[in-house]
Amino acid sequence: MGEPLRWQKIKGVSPPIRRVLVMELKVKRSEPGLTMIALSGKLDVAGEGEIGDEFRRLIESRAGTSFVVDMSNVTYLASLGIRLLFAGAKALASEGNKLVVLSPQPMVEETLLTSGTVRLIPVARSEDEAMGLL
Amino acid sequence: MMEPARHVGGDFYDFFPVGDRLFYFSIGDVCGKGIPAALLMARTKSLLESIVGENTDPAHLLARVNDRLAERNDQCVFVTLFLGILDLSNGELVYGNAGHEAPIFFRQDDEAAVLDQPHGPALGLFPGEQFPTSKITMKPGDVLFTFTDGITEALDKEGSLFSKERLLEEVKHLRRPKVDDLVNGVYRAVKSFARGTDQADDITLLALKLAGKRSPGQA
Repeated sequence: MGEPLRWQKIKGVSPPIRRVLVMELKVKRSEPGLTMIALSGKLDVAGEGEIGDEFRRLIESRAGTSFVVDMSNVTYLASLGIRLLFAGAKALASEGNKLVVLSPQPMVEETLLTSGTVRLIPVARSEDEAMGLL
Repeated sequence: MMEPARHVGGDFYDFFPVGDRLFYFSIGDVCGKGIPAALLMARTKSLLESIVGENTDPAHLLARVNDRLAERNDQCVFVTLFLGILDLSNGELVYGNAGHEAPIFFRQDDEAAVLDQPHGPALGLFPGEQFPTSKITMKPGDVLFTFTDGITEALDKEGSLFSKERLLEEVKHLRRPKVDDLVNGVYRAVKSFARGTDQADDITLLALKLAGKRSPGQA
């Protein structure tokens, strides 16, 4: 065991609570005409709260491009997550661009299909297929 | 039966007779949680109630509510909804589905099956949308079982889903189930599956059984 952290020596100061993040957003490609991002985790109320603002900022700042959203590591999609994707796709569509969901897990894909949003948010099984849909 | 999760919920259901012959019912799920979801839910319910008094065609109902919710919907909020109009004089059920979980139908002595008909998108997203409807004839003893995704998407401690397949597996052996037994049985099965976890989403179950001629319908 090494030297205890400094906060442990200060009387009356509680240790920081480490919050477990449920969602992560990574930009994989950012080039003229195309933004590719990868989401991972549970896109539920908490997950949307964590990455929602970042996602919306990205859509706004890269509105002149189409988006491919890799969802292969998203394990759950709640209605707020559909709303996030739909609002993004709608904003992009107003400038003639698209948002394609790439490789969703079966349950996430079923949620998207049931919601009937697939006409604005098409689903692709591979990067090649996603590029073909743009 | 309805069991909200921790937040103010977005699930809702409704049913009431329309005139002497018809019986209206609906089950829905509003996107999001908290007060905004509750307000949208209340708005949707009252829109449906006011329109069904004028026109009982489910295609019309869904299209009208969809257009109203889609007006100035910059936030892209939406509602999934399954609704039906049952004619109590002959058991004819006309129903429409806007982005909602497909219900399960128990027909007399057959195995229960998912009522997987063509459906439209969730309400509020695509203005001007037309919604397909389907028709079945319910016979005395037939049961229609509707629910929200709080059932199928309940998670156990390992993060596995209860799923539509598991739900069907749980109930498909039942023949002419009593609505109370069905609703309570499924609710207990989901609670037992998700034991030790926080309920992530609202759970709502609505079962409708066509009784004999004397008692028209119960829910």
